[in-house]
Amino acid sequence: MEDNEIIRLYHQRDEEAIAQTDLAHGAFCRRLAFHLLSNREDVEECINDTWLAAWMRMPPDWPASLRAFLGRITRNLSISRFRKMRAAKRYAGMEVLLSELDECVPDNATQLQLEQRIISEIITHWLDSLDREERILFVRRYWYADTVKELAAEQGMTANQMARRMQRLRESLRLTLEKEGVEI
Amino acid sequence: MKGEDIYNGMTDIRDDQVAEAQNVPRQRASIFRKSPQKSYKKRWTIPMAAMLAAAVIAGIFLNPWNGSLSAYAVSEAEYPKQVRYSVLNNDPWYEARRERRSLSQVYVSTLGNFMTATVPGLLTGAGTENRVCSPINVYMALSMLAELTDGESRKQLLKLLDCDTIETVRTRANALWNANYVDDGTVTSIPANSLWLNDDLDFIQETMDTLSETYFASSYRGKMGTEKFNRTLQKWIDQNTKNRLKEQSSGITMDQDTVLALVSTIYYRAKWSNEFQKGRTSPEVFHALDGDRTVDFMHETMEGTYYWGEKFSAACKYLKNSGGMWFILPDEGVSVDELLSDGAVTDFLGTVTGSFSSDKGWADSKYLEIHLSLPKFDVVSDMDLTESLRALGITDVFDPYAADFSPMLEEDSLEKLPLPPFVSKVMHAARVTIDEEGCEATAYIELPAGGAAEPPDDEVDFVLDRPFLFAITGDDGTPLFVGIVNQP
Repeated sequence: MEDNEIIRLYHQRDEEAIAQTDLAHGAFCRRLAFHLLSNREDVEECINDTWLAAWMRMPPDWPASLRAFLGRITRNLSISRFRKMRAAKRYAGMEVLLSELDECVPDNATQLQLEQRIISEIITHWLDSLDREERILFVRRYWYADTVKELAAEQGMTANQMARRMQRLRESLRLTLEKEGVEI
Repeated sequence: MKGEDIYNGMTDIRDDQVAEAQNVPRQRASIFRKSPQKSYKKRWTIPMAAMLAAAVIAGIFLNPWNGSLSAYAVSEAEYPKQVRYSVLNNDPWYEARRERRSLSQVYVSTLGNFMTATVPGLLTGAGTENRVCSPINVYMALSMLAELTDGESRKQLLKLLDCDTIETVRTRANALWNANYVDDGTVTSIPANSLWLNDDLDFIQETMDTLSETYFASSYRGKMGTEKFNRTLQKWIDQNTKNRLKEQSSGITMDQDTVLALVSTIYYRAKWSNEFQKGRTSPEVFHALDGDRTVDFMHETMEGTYYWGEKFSAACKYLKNSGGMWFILPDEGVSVDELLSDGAVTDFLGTVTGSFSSDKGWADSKYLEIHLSLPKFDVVSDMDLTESLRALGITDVFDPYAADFSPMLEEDSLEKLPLPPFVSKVMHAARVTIDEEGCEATAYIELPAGGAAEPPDDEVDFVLDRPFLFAITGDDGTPLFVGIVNQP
C-alpha cells in the first residue's frame, strides 16, 4: 500500500492504518530503534509508542514523507527513553552516538543557547553544503543511526578509516555551529 | 549546548535529506556511486481524472436444441445494497469495506493456484495482437458450469477450480462474488452472471435456484435463435458492461440448437490512487513487435516496491479504494510468450495477486523511487476459450457422448434432445482502458530504457515501451484482469 493510502487510513480513523504502517515501515523503524536502544524489548515498546504517536498526530498531520515522519517519532521516543532510563539501563547505540555528537558542540557552547529550531536550520544548511556522498554518510550515521562498521563495509573501507571520515565531518559541523552561533 | 541538542537538531533536518539517504539501498558495496539518472523528487498532487475501466464477457453455450416461444426474464438477481462513501461520515463505509475484504480468506490462495494454472494458456499465442482476460470471470463461469454437470465432467472442473466438492465451489464463488461486488460511489466492480434458457425445455429448479442464490445469476427464458432473444442477451451484456463491449456483444447470438447459454460479465472502474500529471504526458515511441509506433506516454515518479525475476521486472500502481494494476515488463530480448512459458512470471502473479498486504511475499524486491512511463492504452480482445480449457483438462463437457449435464435438465427434456447437451463454445471478451481526461502534452521528457533484472542504486526508470503484461487486482488482491499490451 502506498504511503498516501496509509495516511488516508489514519485520517479515516481506520486501525488498519497501523497494520499497514507496520508492514510498510515497521522494519525500518525497528532497525532505527535497535541501533539507538540496543535492546529488543525496549525496541518493541518504542515501536508501539511510535504507532500510538502516529495515530495521535494523524489527523491533523499529513506528512509529505511518512517514513521521515515515523523516523522522527522513533528518534524522539528513543532519546526520551534514553533520558528516562539512563541510570537503570545502558543503551550502547545511543551512548556512542551522543558521545560522537558531543564532539560537534562548539567550544563557545556555554555562550550559545540556541533554540532547537536554529540548530536544525544550521545543520540543514551545512548538510546542503556537503557533496552528496558525504551528506548521505552523515545522515546515515546520525539520522538513521547506521553503525560505523556497516557504513565502512558498504564503502569497502575499514572501520577506522570510516571513523576518521566521520570525525572530519563532525569537526566541520562543529566549526559551522561555532561560526553560525557567533553570528546569530 | 550538548550532544543531545545536535541529535535533536539532526532529527528535524529536511525530508529530502532524509529521503536521499533512505533511498540508498543497504548491503551493497557500490551504494554511493552517483546515479546518472535524472531525479524527479516532486510528488504530483494536481487532481486529474485518470481512470481505468474494464469489462469482460464470458459465455458458455450449450447445444443442441430447437424450440419456440418469446423471450422473458424468469428472475433477475438482486444485488446486496452497498454502503455509499460519505465524506462526512465514512466509518460505516470503511467497516463495510473491511468486512468485504475479510471474505477473501475463503478463496484467496485458491485463486493464486488457478491463476498459475490458467493464465499462460489464456494469454499465450497473442502474436502481435493485444489480449485480455479475466481470471475471476473465467473462475465464476466454470464454477457455474460445475453446478450444471455431474460425474467426470464435474470432476474435471473441480480439479481445475482446485476444489474437492461442489459445496467448496459454492462457498468460494459466493465469497468471491461478494468480495468483488463494489458499487459504493468510489469504485465500480460488478461481476454479473446470467442464464439463458431454452423455453421448450424443463430445467431442474433446484439447480437454477442454486445458481441464482449462490452466484447472483439472473435467468431468462426464450426462443433460441430468434432475433428478439438475441437482442435481449446483447442488451443484458451492454447494460452490465456499461456499453464497453458493444462491438463484441453485437456478435453474440444463440442459435436455435442452444439449450442454455451461461454468460458472465465483469465491469470494473477505479481511479488511480495518485493520478498522472496531465502536463507530463507526451508522445513517445513504443517498440511493438510489428514495428515502432508513437503513442502517448503518461509519466509519474512514485515511491514503491520494485520487483524483479530472472527475465522480468515489475511494479504496481495502486487504485483508489481498491487494489492495483501490476505492470510486468520482460527484459530486453525476452518475448511475452517466452516469459509466460517460463513459469516464473505466473508464480509471481500467483504470489503478488494472492494478497493485499504490502509484503507481497516476493523475495526479489526493493523499495525505490520509480520513474514510471506508461503508454495510455485501450486494449480489447475476444477469443474462444475452448482449446485453452481442453488443454487444461476440461474435455468431457465438449463431447456430447461424454458430457454429463444431468443436474441441469429434467429427464423428459433430456429425452427430447436429438443429441445430449454439450458445450459448443466458450466465448470470452474483455476490454481494459487506461484513460486520462483532457490530456495535453506540454513537455517531452526522454527517459532511458530500464527494466533490467538488477535494479540500480536508489531509483529506477520503469519504461513500458515494449510489449508487456498487466494484471488488475481487486481490493483483496483478487486477479480481476490479466492481459498483454502489444499495441497500445
